[in-house]
Amino acid sequence: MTVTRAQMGAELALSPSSPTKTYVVEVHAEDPAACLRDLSTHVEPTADAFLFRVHTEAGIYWVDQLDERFWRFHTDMRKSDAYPHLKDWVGSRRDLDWMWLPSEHLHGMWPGARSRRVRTDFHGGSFIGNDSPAQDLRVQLSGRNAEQLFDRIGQLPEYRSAISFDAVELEISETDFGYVREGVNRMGSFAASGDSLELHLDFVNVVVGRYKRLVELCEEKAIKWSASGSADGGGTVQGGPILITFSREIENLEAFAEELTSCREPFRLWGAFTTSRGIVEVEAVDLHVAQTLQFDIAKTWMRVYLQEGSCGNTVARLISNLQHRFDGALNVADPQIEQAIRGR
Amino acid sequence: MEERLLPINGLLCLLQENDVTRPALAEAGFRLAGLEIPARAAGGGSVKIDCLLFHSEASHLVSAEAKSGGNVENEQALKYGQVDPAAVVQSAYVTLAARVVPTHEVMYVALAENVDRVRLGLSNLELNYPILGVSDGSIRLDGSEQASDRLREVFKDGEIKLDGPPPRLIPFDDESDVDAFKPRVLSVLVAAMARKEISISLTSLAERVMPHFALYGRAAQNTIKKKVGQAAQALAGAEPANYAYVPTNGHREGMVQILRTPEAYDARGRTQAYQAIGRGGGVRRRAVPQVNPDQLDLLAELEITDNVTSDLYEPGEEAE
Repeated sequence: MTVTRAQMGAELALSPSSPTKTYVVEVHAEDPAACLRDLSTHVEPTADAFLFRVHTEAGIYWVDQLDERFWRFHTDMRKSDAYPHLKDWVGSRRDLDWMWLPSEHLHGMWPGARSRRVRTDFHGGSFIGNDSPAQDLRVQLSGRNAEQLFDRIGQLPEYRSAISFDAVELEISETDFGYVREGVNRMGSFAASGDSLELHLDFVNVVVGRYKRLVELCEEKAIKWSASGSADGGGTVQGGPILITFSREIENLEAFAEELTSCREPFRLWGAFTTSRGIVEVEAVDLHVAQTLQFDIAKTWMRVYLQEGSCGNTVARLISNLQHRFDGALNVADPQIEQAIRGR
Repeated sequence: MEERLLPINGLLCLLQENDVTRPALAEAGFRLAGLEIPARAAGGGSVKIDCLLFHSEASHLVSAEAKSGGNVENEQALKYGQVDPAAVVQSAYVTLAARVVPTHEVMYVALAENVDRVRLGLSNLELNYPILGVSDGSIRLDGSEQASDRLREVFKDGEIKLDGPPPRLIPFDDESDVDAFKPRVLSVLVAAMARKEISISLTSLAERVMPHFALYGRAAQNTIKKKVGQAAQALAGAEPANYAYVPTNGHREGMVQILRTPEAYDARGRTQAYQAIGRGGGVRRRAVPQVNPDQLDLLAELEITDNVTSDLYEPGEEAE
């Protein structure tokens, strides 16, 4: 029997007891089909040129490459079976990465949707001094319109920078589609139950689209050098570093730079740095994607030098992780990127 | 960023929107039209314009010579004054949106502490170009009475305060010391290790180290390549288990061989191997403090040891 996209719709159950999961993975591949075959030897093509099935011992992933950069892995497998494969693939390759949703992308995600559970997770660790009123702040609330509590906490100046959305669960109902209950976390993992796969897919599309805009904007704003082509040299530059401004001061710049470039998760940045004119200049490598980038770190701001051809996901990941480790209330000076971070 | 490159980066910072300092030149309508632009001088020969600004509405060009020190090169200074604006338009491929004949002025850019010396050097040649003096905290236009109205207007309030060091768009150039290249060269080698590359030619290394490598003329490119190679050689000497430097000979271009990569290890070993890179290479990387980030989370530890069923919701996970 020929496998089709309609069959995927029929097979994914959206059951409350075994929700359908969707994992979004960012991929840089010239030949997406070949890249997928490189990940697994058990890839089954379908009648749809963009859709594949990947078989594992525990079940099936439906891999949708309709968006060639942000693939969707749909499955009804348990998370304990589904997630480890993806984690291994993403962790071991430089052309795969997760989405790293900024905090605001998990806030007010869908017009009219009711949030049922919300979790914020801020872990300052070595980035924050011991005297901070909120070194770690992890709150989970279940209830009707659960986001409201966090809006209130966010109005308290001493806690504002420690509010960073990590995951939400919400109910969506659309007359033309049906009903879904969606759980989503900041790394682009979705779990859904309900009666409309179409609505779930639409929800994923909206979240990915918002994130994609941020990533592409960062790439648009990257530093682009263009040479005239003459043997005598000459050319010009467009773009510039992306400036992140903080709502709190960095207490110790060098300790901050050391922690940021410790090569550990979640930042996975290698770096060498020098201190000059009161700022720390960092020559860094994003070990997620094996690309160089540079930072200037001052007390209340940070420049990110992203060169043309580098992946905008690097900036999105940095922003998302800084929101969870240092400042949930950070801003970006470029108004377009700032809007994209706010999900607008 | 080296002190000597503060002038050029300070000038560029006034064109840079959405940074810490107000982009005063950009706000006044100037934009960057080119870097390292070769231009023919009317008296013969040519000059290389470090930074060319263009004001589209006024069709006005500003050729800026960025001085890393205080000395004025006489021949160069005279040639700047002989540059034909039409030739600059052609050399830099400037688009003249308005049918207005372009005008041109020359401006020197120097460290604030060197402005007097540069002024003296120019005066000796009977040249009175305005000089932009860049310090850590501000930028001031010296000799503004000689500047065009457009330029003078930008500095009408005296100095422009810098709210932070300028971005280091040009962190080093062909005149930089080899040590200035080392951190960037090392970062490129680490990125190559992460990609499991086995070797990098010196040209490729220079291009990755300096994204603006192609903007330099051939002589400067050769100097940069040589310095990048020297930096790589020093780094390989400091970490011989990681890299080997193979010099250029008559038959092939020099290269750096990558002898091992942290990617060969498991996750924990990989992190430690990356952390160890650069500790012995004269590049500043401190030992990562051995602090367990979860050390103080004793409440979480209690939850596990007491085996208390938590109602914490794990997104993406069904009830077990």
